[in-house]
Amino acid sequence: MALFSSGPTLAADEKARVEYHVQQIIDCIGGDRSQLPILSTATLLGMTQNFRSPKEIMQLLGEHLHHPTGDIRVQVIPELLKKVGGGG
Amino acid sequence: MKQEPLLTTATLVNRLVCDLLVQNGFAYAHLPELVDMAVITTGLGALQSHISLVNEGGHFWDSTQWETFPRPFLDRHGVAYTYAVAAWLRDQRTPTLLEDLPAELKKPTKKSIKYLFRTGDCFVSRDHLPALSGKTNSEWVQATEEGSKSKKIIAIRQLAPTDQVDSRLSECILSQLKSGDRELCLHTIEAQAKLLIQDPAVIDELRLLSTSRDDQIRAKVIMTLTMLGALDEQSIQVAAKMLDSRARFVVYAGIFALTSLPSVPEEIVEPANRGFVRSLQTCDYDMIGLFTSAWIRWEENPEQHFEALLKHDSPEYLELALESLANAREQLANASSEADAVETQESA
Repeated sequence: MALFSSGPTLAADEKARVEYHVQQIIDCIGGDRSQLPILSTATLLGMTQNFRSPKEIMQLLGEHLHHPTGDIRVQVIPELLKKVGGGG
Repeated sequence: MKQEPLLTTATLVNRLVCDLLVQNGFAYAHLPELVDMAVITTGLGALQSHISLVNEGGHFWDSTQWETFPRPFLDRHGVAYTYAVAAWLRDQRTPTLLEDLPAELKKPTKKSIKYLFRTGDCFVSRDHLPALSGKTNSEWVQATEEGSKSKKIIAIRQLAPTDQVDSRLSECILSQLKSGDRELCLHTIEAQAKLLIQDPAVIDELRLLSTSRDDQIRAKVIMTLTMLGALDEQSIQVAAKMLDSRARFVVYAGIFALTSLPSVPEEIVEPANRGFVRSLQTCDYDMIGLFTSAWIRWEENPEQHFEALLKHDSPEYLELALESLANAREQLANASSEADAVETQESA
């Protein structure tokens, strides 16, 4: 028996659970989307630059996913943000 | 937005991937853990990996109920492993994503990637073919014989009930029950609760496992034997002992089993009384309901039994007990009239 485990740091049934669900997801959204480039933190945060609105960020993310975002409305309620001291 | 671009963008990513899942008809888009996995799988997990939500408490006792009782968050190990699978799927042995991960995720992710490329031991299909549908029981049985432990677990979960006697399926269940491996055993008991194979050798093995010291195994075995109508004298005694457990799910399994019996031996009345009083004291309404249903089955006059039990020592609980009795009788009457209505409709 090996002194140090060389496998994943989760138990076999947890490993099975993750693999099972990832496969479920891929079966549903299509294998091509599991080949999309893995975006870095810098790339994702870059999307928020130039005062882009949430709607514009959604569009950029949608392009990555090949998923239309035209029907999605992003509503920010300014009154509420003002009330809680935010206002982003 | 200006203050928290990371959180804002992570939220938008999460919601958009959730929409992607919903629009594609994914049945579990309401489970946050699975949305997290989809975010990582689609290459958008970078921001999410900087946010860690942990809740150790509140996990459901039965670890085999993946979709019915999911976890609230994908934990650190789950995140790291999903990243490893994402890299493996893209054939990236040393992905740049590693440089982007926080230190606590980097090491386990790297280790898992190394493992996956060395062994190929991953259920997720790299050829883009649906891997969960279109397989026969025979193919899943085959997978339980030759795969790794995690692949075996998935294969066992995929076994489906059949109308015909399938000796290979029975042998598969029997050998996994005998495997001595806790996780394989638990998933096999779960599969048997769905398959309900009436093979005497399988039932004997389940009866043997009913004496296990492992609470989860014992509880699942007793419930499965009940569903099979295969409680014997020994398993009835085990179920009676379960009524005095501190773990609620063990008590639940015990009373679930005993309620299926039309009557119980004298020695079981005492533990059942104790369990009932404890459920009244803790105002555990589900458990009170279960015990009440049991007493309706076992006693001709449950009111009299409740009065004798509670009048002197715990009179304050008598009203609650009688109320539960009235509710249980009402539910029984409703269920009976619904069954009559279905029967009349079918014969018309």
